[in-house]
Parts: sequence; C-alpha cells; structure tokens
Amino acid sequence: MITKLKAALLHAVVTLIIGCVPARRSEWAAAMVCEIYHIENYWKSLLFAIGCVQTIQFERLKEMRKFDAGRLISFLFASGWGLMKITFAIFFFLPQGGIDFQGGLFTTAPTSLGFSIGLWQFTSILISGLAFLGAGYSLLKWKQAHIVGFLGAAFLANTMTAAILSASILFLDTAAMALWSFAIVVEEYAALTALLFGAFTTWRFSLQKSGV
Amino acid sequence: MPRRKNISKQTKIVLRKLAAAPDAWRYGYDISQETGIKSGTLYPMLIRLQDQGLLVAEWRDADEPGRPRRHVYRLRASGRQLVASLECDGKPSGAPTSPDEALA
Repeated sequence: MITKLKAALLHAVVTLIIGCVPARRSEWAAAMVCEIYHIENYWKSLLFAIGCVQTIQFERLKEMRKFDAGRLISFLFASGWGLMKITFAIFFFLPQGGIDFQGGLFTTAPTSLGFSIGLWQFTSILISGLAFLGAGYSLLKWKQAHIVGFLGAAFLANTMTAAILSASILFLDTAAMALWSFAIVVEEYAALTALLFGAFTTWRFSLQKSGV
Repeated sequence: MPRRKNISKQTKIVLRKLAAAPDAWRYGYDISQETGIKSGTLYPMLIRLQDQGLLVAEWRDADEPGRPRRHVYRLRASGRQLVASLECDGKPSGAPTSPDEALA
C-alpha cells in the first residue's frame, strides 16, 4: 500500500513536470524525467523531481513574460472590478444615500437581485481576489520590478480577510465581524494599491521599451 | 565597453566539474551529487549553458536494460575556454569573461 502511494506521489510530481513544460523545453523535461528513474533512493528521487518541477515552472514563467497578455488581463480585471463597483454604487449605493459601513464595502448587498449580505460579501471578495490575480500576473512579467515584498503583503492582507470572514461566518461573533469589517477596508485599499502599482510599472516598462 | 556579467559561484563549480574531465559525458544526477547542487538549481544552469553554446547535451542508452535513456552533458570548446579564463588571474586577451561574451 505504502509502496503504491509512494509511486503515485512520484508519478504525480513527474506529471507536473510533463504537464507544465513549455514546448521548447520538452526535451529537457524528458531528460529530467528519465534521470529521475535512474535514482535508486526513493526520497532522493522525489526531492530531485521536486527540483525539476521548480525548473519547469521557472521556464514556464519565462515563457509567460514573452507575450503581453499579462497587461491585457490586468487591464480587464482592473477595469471590470472598477466597473462593477461603479455600477453597484450607482444602482444600490446612491438610492440608499450612505455608505454601508456594516461590511466596510463601498457598496451594499443587492438584495433585490437575490444576493444575501453574506453572499454579496463573498462575491465582492472573490472579485477583488481575481483583480489581485490579474495585477499579480501583470507584475510577474517584470523581474526588474521589486514587487515580491509588496505583493506578499497585499496577498497576506487578502488571506487574512478571507480567514477572518470564514471565522465570522462560522461563529457569527460580533467582535470577529467588526475585525472583519476593518480587514475588508484594508484589503480593498491593498487591492487598489496593487492595481495602481501594476499600472505604474506597466507605464514605466512602456517608457523603458520605447527608449525614453 | 560591454557590461561584464558575473558568473555565479554555483555555475563556476559546475563548469569546473565538467572541465575536470572534458571528454567525459556526465549525467545530471551525478553532477548534482558531486557538486551538492540541487536539481532545481542545476537544470536551469545546464539549460542556460546549453543555450549559450557552452555545453553540449546528448541522449545515451541506459547501461541497465529496462531503464530509460539518459541525457548526458559535456563542455564545448568555448566552455572549456571560459573555464580556463576563470582559472587565470590575469585573463588572456580574447578569452571570454562570461558565458554571454563567449558567444559574442
């Protein structure tokens, strides 16, 4: 049983190598996979395979930097996110004449569309999370941009928000709800800053590319 | 004057290891074992060296039956020249000081 599990684990790692490899590195992926099956010690072969996955992922990222989809995706997410907020602000926030501080969001739950407060809060966070991904993907393209620490902090804020949200939903604790409201505000601003930073680096990169 | 790019310590170790027996074909795992460099660092390095024309890679049949073929590696003349230049304190004129320069 354990032997089967160990084999399955190694097989899964090998599949990761093969599945992620960019076309121009397929020979190298084959070389790595073949090498794995020449290592006698199982754990050494597993560690070796994990290193190979890292190599292939890195090659994959290098491929991704070669096209401009990151900028487009970032733009689509950022603009979609902004449009969503504006739309709901106009249709739901304006008629109520005040900011909904309950959730700390810029908008309130569109209950007329069948959204409960909880579902709406979840949807908002999901959308801002997708916006994060778009910004992150875009920023990933420029290795000269020292953004690892920044993005790490932003994603940490997002993760914390999700964790507190889960806790507050599970236990419906008032203090947790208040903390969650605060976290939502932090997360919203972190997302906005990340997107602005993405736009800024895009602009800087365009200047560098055009030789200005 | 072109900007001189530094070669990492680990790349130097691998280059020296390969240059120690320039005619011998080496396996990736053996290089990893002998140098203590993990596969996640070694393979990007080998890929880069091959891209820069310093390394040649080939497929060889396995010694044991039933095992897959293996990729083997050896330095090209330009790679050996680069290692020689690294070994010298005063670089000889014309010798490349970096993998990129070796290609130029």
